[in-house]
Amino acid sequence: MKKSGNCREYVASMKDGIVRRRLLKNASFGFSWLSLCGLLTESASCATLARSRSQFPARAKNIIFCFMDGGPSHVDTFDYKPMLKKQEGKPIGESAVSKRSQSNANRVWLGSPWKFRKRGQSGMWVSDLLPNIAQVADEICVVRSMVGELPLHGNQNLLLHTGRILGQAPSMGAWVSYGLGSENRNLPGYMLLNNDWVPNGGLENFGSSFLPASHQATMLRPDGVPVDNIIPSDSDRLQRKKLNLLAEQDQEFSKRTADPLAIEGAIANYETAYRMQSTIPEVADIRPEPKHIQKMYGVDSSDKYQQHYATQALRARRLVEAGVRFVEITCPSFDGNNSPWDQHGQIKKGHEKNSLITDQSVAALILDLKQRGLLDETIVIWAGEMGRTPHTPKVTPTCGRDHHVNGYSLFIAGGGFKAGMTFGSTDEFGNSVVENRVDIHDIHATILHQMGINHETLTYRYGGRDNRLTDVHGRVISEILA
Amino acid sequence: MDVVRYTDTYGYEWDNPVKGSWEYRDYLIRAFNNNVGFDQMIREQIAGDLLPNPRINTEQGINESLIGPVFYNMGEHRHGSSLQFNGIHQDMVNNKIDAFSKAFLAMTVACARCHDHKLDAISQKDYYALAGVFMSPRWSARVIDLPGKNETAIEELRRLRQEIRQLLAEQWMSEMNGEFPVRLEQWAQAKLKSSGNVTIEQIAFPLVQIVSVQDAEIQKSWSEMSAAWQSERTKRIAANKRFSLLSDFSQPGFPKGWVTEGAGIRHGYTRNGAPLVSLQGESLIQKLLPRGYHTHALSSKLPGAIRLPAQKKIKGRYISLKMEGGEWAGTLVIPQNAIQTETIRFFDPVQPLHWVSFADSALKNGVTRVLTEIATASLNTNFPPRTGLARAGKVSLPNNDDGFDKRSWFSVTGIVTHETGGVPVDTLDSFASLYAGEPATKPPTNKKESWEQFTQWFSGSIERWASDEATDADVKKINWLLREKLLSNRRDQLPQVAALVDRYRKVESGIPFPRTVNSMDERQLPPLDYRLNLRGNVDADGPAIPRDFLEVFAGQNDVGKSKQSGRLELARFLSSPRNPLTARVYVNRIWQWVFGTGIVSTSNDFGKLGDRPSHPELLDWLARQFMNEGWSTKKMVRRQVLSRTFRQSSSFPRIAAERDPMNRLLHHYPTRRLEAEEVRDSLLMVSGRLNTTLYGHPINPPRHHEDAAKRLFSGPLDGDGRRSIYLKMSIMDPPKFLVCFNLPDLKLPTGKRDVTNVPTQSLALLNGPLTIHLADYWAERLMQDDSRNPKTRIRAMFVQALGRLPKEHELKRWSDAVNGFSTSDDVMKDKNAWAELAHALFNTKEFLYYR
Repeated sequence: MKKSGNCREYVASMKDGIVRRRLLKNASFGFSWLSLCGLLTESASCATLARSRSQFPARAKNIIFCFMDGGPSHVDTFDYKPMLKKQEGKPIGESAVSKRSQSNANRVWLGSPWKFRKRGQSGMWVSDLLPNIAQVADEICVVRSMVGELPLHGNQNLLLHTGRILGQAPSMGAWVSYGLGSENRNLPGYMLLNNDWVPNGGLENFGSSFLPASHQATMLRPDGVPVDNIIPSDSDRLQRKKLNLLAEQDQEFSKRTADPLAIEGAIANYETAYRMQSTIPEVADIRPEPKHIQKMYGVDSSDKYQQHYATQALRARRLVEAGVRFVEITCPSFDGNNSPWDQHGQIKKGHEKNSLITDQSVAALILDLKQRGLLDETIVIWAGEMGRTPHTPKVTPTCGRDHHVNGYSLFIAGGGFKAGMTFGSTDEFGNSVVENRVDIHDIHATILHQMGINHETLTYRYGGRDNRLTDVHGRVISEILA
Repeated sequence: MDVVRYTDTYGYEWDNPVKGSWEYRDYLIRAFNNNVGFDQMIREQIAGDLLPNPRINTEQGINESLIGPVFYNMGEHRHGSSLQFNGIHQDMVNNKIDAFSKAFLAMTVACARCHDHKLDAISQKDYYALAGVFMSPRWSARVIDLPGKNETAIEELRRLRQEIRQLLAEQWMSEMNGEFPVRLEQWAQAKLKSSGNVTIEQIAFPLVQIVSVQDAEIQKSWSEMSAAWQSERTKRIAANKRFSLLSDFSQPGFPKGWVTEGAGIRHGYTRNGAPLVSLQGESLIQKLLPRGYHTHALSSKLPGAIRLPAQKKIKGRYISLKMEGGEWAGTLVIPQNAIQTETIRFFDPVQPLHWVSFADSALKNGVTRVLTEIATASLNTNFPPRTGLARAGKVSLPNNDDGFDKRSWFSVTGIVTHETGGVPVDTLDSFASLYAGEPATKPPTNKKESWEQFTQWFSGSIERWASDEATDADVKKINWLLREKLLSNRRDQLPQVAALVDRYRKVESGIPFPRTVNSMDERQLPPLDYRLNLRGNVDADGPAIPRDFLEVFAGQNDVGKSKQSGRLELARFLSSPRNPLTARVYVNRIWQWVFGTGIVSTSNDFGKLGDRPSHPELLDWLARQFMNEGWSTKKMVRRQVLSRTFRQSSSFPRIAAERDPMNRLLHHYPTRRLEAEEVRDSLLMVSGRLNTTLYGHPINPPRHHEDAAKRLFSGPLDGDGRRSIYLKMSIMDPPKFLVCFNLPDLKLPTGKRDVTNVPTQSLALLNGPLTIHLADYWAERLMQDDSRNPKTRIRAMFVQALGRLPKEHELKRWSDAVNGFSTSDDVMKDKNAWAELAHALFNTKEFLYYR
């Protein structure tokens, strides 16, 4: 609403109608002229808007969100709790029961099947489940005191993405794209690297909701056609012929209509679309990357899922280099499970598989960004929507852990976050937060802050109110910022 | 349909299908096509189940009004219930209030969940008063078929069943002759050789006991058996004392406060011994039915449901029902209308009649009412449930089974209540006439006598059954004989009966599957007031708020005075001329459909935060006209499109643009892009691929990747040519082509769609498989036209795609183009060239926009 108003005023001030018509009359290649004109309008208005939304110098320019869909166990990754092993098999008791956890008094503590070690200079505790991420411990900032609202995937996914357990609001990627625009006019501001995998909560997790649809995630598949409709259906020569035919035809139509703005926008989109056909496959193509870089990410893996994830992680770097603001990578579902990290049973087997798929690539991504000097301006987030219960109904070789949002871990690297830091803590069982409680809104606020955006003033009017990513919550966690 | 947030699934994590969503879609299509008054449609959507004179569709034999409340079932429904995780029912009711208030009032009441509305006169109390209105009924499945729909067939089945019974009775009586004791003994000897433990409850028990006993020992053994039976029976009768009988169905009907649904119950009562005719295979009948309700007594297509009074309203902590069932009949326990409950169980058809207990739940997390239902698949609100939950014994429902057209059945033969757990035990009644009854009181003295005595024991049952005086024990015994093939029950044995059975099967096969929808049912159910959540916090219950409509309408309606939920009173008030808001809201929507923007541009918000009307008097006048003309949508559309405002061209003088830059005064007809469905439907129509079939099950959109766990399956690229309204609207993954052109979020009631203009739309039309496929399809058809030269054909194409003839220079441009595309000597026969041209025509802006 507001945006289109701005555009109209802007165009009106250019005495647009007359300028365009004269241009069309005089220029024999009206199409490219026109699209150029359209693009000027577009980038000019975007820049104006973007300027108005960033309130202070940005520390970071881009975000890569490695979404660990399903909820990796915090007590098996970053939150070391030797007490669990000591008390393994003992009932947790009424006092450990929480509505933020699938719990009852008769469940029993379960020790971690993985060894924990102090890593790097910082001495951060990281388990052997994530051997490669452990190697970059000094680059990451772990928050061990995350608290969610309900131990349910759908709600927590939507909370993590949209700031609301019911969703019905834009994804954080859409907000960032809306707030800062894309640095590359041939690429969208928010890209999702996945495998047509729809996580709990639905595609709404990546949607633009009430924000303009151009801010919703564009999906990029790991193999086959990377983006819907991106591969030209015609040879370049044939397509050019068609586009020229369309250009002539459409310009006449535009002249006949009373509201040429929309038509001209649509005409301009064809030129952008034409360029996207080459830009997106180009940036998605990792073949030009040196072999050792591909290997570092794990592209050469014999495991199909790891190969896909590695490809996506490497693409993520290429996309932020090309100017995409927000890149999200989801985990592949490997066993027809409801969500990849959701090991209610077989936690050892399932978590190890997830680790095999993601661990090497995430670590490689961080190192690669660093060696290119991009880590400072890129925020890498590793987070699931929940943690997992430190307890289980019964200790067996195939037991698992259930849903837990009463204290869990995530990490953020780069973008001005304190490297090698561990923030917040849970009790001796990893069952509830005892120090520096953080919720998703705080994470959102802090990320936006690093991007140069005040989370309280990045708003969009819908349903009669000014909506924010953080709703009415959120605190910038200055303690974890360098 | 955006306004009512139409969806075919419940979304969230499992995307379960909404039972009857498509019936509701078809209901709307029929209603608009038949110009049903909008006041009637409002009454139906809010309270269609309560209308004293529902709207009957005689052609289809359905009650249209009963489909209306599917309106409440749209939108997201989470799985589980608040008993497990607090917040589930509160969020569902929030979605109902949001949709209701935006759709019919153009007000945002939903935000009053947490606080009084800051600017509009809506208080938090209003929200919870309305929540009570919507929460009072059961959100339950209903049969929309008219009660008498299959009356003729059912009467015929009943008659045939009686004839079959008579013939069988004569036959079986004749089989109780001198041969029978021998057959029994042979059976028992054979049984002895086979392994397997026979327990005291089983009919075979005395037979296998006696078969190995010598003549001399018979009398003693028999007496011992009799004594053992007597003592066991006494023990068992005593053990059953703690159960209070609620019904043994000695009379038809259910206890007070119990509600039933469907022809399966209406025609399901039988006395002891009604034969259950085999619908397939060699056997004539499956078995005799014991006294009680059997939804499949005449046909397993008939739907049935039994809805118990709320938990704690029945005396006793436990209620147990003696039941069996199969083919996805099951039981469900629904706390606070959380219909996607996980407490759903399906009958294992292998398990014969057995007691199923329901214990009163401990109420917590704002749950004040827990409802129990027993239902066939078609009347099970939660069928099919989330993938993985549909298990019956060893059988699982495939994920790609949407649960349409299922045979399904269950039986109920007894109801008891009790204070402690456990279920009643079999009191061994079947043996009474063997040991204690006349004339079999005397123990036999030798083997021959014993088999004769057994024969009498059985023939007594058959005689009683033949004269329709069978007891439960008799039914059990005859069923045992049938199972052990000791009575004739095969087609080849009794050709006369077989003929009747064939006739029965034929009539039965002509009965259609039932049509059911998730609607509302508040029969026999006391309404409930809803507790206010302090600051909207589901864990902080405040006082219960009496049911009512918004306070601003106080004194104008009877919602608060209702003895029921208040929905009927609400529906009447909203559709009465006393309340002009409803008509204004709707007329404004029509205006928006016709002109692109409503007189109030925020068509879902007439409140303080909404836009002011551009022409308030016009809106009022139109609303009055609308009500005067019988709330006729067609007349109102006609009135608007015949207006001079509509007929004006889209060109305008410059001064107009300066005075009215946003065209709020409509100085010209605005240029508009087709909406998502219109884009797709136009492509189908122009290419000739449009399949004009009306109604039916939703069709999956094409998908790159299927996800069986969430029932996200792929359908044909062009949806079989069906209009977009028939594509499956899945909350988790809606049809991508439509999303690209601004299909709105399916969870939210949307008053006005966005019209964004993004390059992905260009890519979809330029490179997407749908346009290419349809251009090809069109070209194929063009090859068969009688055009003699490119220009004639291009003229026809323009008329088809753009609704006008091309100008001379356009003709030249497009025929040059087709010549340029062609690689053949005869361009008219070069299908590819024409496909390219068609593809280009689909990509013109004139195709996408209208003025």
